[in-house]
Amino acid sequence: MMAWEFLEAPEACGPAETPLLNGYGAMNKILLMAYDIEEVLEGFYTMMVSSTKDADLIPALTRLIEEEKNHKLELFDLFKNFDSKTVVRERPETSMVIDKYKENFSNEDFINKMTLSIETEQDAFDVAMKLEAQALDFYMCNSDICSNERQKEIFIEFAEEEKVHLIHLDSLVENVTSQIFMVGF
Amino acid sequence: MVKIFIDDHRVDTSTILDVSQPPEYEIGHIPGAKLIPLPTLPDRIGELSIVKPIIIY
Repeated sequence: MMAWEFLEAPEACGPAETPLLNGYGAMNKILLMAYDIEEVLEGFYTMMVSSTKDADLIPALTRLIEEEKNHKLELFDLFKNFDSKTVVRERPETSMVIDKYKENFSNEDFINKMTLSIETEQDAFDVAMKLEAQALDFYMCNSDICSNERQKEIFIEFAEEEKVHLIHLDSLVENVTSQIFMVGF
Repeated sequence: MVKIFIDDHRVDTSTILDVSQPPEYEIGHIPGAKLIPLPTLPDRIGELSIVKPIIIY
């Protein structure tokens, strides 16, 4: 069933099974994956800002970049409180690449791979909405099975914010023309 | 109508329940939907909140 056909919104896709929280080690991994998802979103919006020809889109995309950065900071604080011994403040992202999701790609390589199929701004928005939908799925699934109330609250809050991002992107894309999208790297 | 409901309500105030099979879910689903394939629903019914509205598809 293609849910989006009747929803008139972007579909989500991806694995039905997401990582479960089975204790200390699993929670550690979930937080790292969440951080990684936010970093990919931030990187993708940064690429969009540098590539778009539509100056009117830049303020909205810049705001999305800032919101994903804030998510990263909050996740980092969660992670720090969860396991402060293993985190280096200066470069937390060094351990944030999750092989399962990106086939050993770095975040930059992953974004580059996604941009290969982008020819128009419409294409770029489609990819952005798929990423947001996957982030929403990730936070909803993990909030559902998270026993820690503080982490659960944060995951639900992030899920809500990713949903708002989806709505925002949906409204932006209505005004996007099919002009050629110049990928900047 | 479903989209309007989802857009207007916080994610934690309702449950979007997808009862399709995992391969169908992977092809496309409503963002944030919880997957419980229909054949497994009787065994997993306890995973659903009884105090929140449930949208099933």
